[in-house]
Amino acid sequence: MDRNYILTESGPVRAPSMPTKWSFNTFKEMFDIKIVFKDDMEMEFDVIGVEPSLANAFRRILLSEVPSIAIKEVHMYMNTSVIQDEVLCHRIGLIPLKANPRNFEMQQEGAPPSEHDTLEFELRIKCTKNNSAPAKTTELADLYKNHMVYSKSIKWLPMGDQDKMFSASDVGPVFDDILIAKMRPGQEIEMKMLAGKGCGKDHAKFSPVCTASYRLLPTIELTREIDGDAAYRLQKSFSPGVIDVVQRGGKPVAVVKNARYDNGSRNHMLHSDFASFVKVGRVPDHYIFTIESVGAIEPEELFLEAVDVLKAKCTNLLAELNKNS
Amino acid sequence: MSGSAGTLSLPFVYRPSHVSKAVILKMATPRAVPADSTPAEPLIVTLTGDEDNETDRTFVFANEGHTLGNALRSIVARYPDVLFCGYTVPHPAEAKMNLRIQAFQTPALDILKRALTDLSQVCDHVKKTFTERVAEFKQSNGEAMEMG
Repeated sequence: MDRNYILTESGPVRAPSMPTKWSFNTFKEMFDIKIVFKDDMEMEFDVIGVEPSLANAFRRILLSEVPSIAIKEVHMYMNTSVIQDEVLCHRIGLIPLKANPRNFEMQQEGAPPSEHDTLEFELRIKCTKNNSAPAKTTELADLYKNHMVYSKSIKWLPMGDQDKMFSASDVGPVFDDILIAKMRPGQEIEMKMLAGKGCGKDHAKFSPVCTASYRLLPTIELTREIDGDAAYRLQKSFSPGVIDVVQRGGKPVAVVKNARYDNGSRNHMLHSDFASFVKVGRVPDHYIFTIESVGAIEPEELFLEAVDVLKAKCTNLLAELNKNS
Repeated sequence: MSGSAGTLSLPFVYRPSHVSKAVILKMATPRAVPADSTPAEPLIVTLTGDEDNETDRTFVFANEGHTLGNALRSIVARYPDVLFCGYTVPHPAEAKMNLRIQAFQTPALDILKRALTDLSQVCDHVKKTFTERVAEFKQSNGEAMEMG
């Protein structure tokens, strides 16, 4: 516990002590990654043995420097819905697209859109009265046709040879049921959209992650046996699964089962009889990373891209310095 | 921009009041720059004031921020031959990051190069470990699914 942060009523104390001298071999010995959970959209993994600065660099790069594809230009031909043009365009821009950014180039400033850097989409939809609606119905879905505009109505228009490389399901919206607008009979939306590659630091719509965050691994230490009624009170003051109560010597005794899912509530401090025997802390170099993708790229690919971005920064600068000296 | 910029050798000088003379290093990454616009600013220059001592330098990084600044700082600050290292983003609206290195004897430029090499080695190792662990995870989960 010596190296850990310890939480007191006044905040965390005891600064962590990383090795004071840098050496790549020491880093290699201390560093490890453990994958905890993974699916197509989300993953949780532990990064062990790094400084906060490196963990934070990866997190920041995931949020703002890993490129993704989003709609960046809208040509509005008709919008008689109640949503203003600019609000509608903003909503359109935030729809996540499935297109893989690695298949596209960054559009050069001032250059015309081409099949290598742009995806074209179209949305044409008109709300009408449903003449065959059942009598006396008050359901909007029965009364009107197309009164809800969903992302599934966005049609892909392949440019050049794009239709040979991709199918509509490879490039279109990640979800079919994103509500874009609501309309009433007679209202109409008609627009063309141009999607391109960008980075989160230019606009949040280009961020490839819903969230990318980390927290430190919690530790809990009981410095004295807590038994009887107090054991149950201790168990209740933490999240479920953190503290277990076992029978030992004929009485219930509290043991730490899994500190990982402690939420840091400090509720145990309300119980003055055992508060001082519970040491809650954090392991200073054990990061629990969570990456949630918006759906275009799998989360493990995103993390590898983030590492590549940081490496590219280093190699570009090194090349620049070596060229001039 | 000065035509003789490329001929100057390091250590180089960045004078905020005479920016047109300060261009030493050109952009390394291809960026979206129309042909007729002004040239892109250099990736990295040094701040004026340390000309008589090559162990002390403030490097000014263009288009960088806390991401690279703090990562480099955390490595350089732990070099035994470095007296001081710190970084700052002088103004949030300006995409510039200053990294200050003061060494005992080693030229600050060498320290910066070493830090960049170390950081890219770290990236390689992180990538390798992560790829291995993901493969292991997929394998063990595949086995668990077959057994279940």
